[in-house]
Amino acid sequence: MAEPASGGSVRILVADTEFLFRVGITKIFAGENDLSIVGLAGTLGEALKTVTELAVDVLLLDTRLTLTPAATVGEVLKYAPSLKVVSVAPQPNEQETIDLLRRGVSGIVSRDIDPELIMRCVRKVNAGEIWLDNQGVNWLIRAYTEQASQTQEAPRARLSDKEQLIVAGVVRGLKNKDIANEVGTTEQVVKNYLRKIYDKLGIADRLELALYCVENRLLDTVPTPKPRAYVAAAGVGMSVRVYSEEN
Amino acid sequence: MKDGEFVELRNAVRFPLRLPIEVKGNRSFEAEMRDISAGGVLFRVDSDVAVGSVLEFTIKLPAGELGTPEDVEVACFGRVTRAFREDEHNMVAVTIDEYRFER
Repeated sequence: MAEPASGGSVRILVADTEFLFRVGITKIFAGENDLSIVGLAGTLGEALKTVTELAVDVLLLDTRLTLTPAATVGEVLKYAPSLKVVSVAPQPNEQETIDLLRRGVSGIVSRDIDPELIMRCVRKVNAGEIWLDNQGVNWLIRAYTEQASQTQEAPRARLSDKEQLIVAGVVRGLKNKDIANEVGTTEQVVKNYLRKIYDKLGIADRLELALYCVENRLLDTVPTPKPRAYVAAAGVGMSVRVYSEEN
Repeated sequence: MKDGEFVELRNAVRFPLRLPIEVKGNRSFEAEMRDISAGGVLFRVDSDVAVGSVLEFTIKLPAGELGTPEDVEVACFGRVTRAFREDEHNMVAVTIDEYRFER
């Protein structure tokens, strides 16, 4: 985690395609004792280099620096997990807003934000809050509501017998090829089924599928194609062992 | 930078499954899972865990609740991305970078 700057000011890196924007932000923050611009970057490479070399608290990231802003935010946070990223977009749209939030962005602002608001935004995200305008909040609530309604519908009723067999193979750790052999079809057909299953259940991958099965007891009555000897579960619920390799 | 690299966080559904966690390694401490998704896991710990720590942990999905003949283990590898206090407890958020079903 970044050490606090001397005097406690927030250390800000501005990564923007436009020179005038970088200069403008610098001038806006110049008169604030608690906000300190520690770097200016005109490319994504420069921005990444700076966050790994300098102590930065908040990154103002122009979404036009990359073709995939959400994925970029995720990558930046891998390098600097404690960094707060505020994306600056010409006109934030709903899907991009949700994707950015899912990847860990702390704030989303438009390029024409009021100077007072950008300073307030930086202070708030540095304090651990999320900064969104009203439209962004509405999008977030809608996305959350849609996701919640997808998982509330009776899960077992959604899946066909063959889909449940395929799910049973996945959670047993079988690869698609092995599932195909058990079920009596081809690997491509299994992949197609899985895509359909993920869409039906509102999930994204095998791990979510397994967790979904636990939470909803999806496979209580589904027999596996080749019955195996039963082994008593060890204890109640799940157990997790964590092997820590602290840096 | 792999611009197209994507992790499961995009559509990560969270599951409020509370499970015990045991840390093994240089030191051991008790922990309790609060929720989990394919993108990450949040758990409560009794010790300090540094942000940025690389963790390897195994999730055991119980046969009885999963509906399988045997318990299923999923080996996960991830990093601590957040550490904060909540109701006098240490909370740790770990991003899952990779996982593998064990057989």
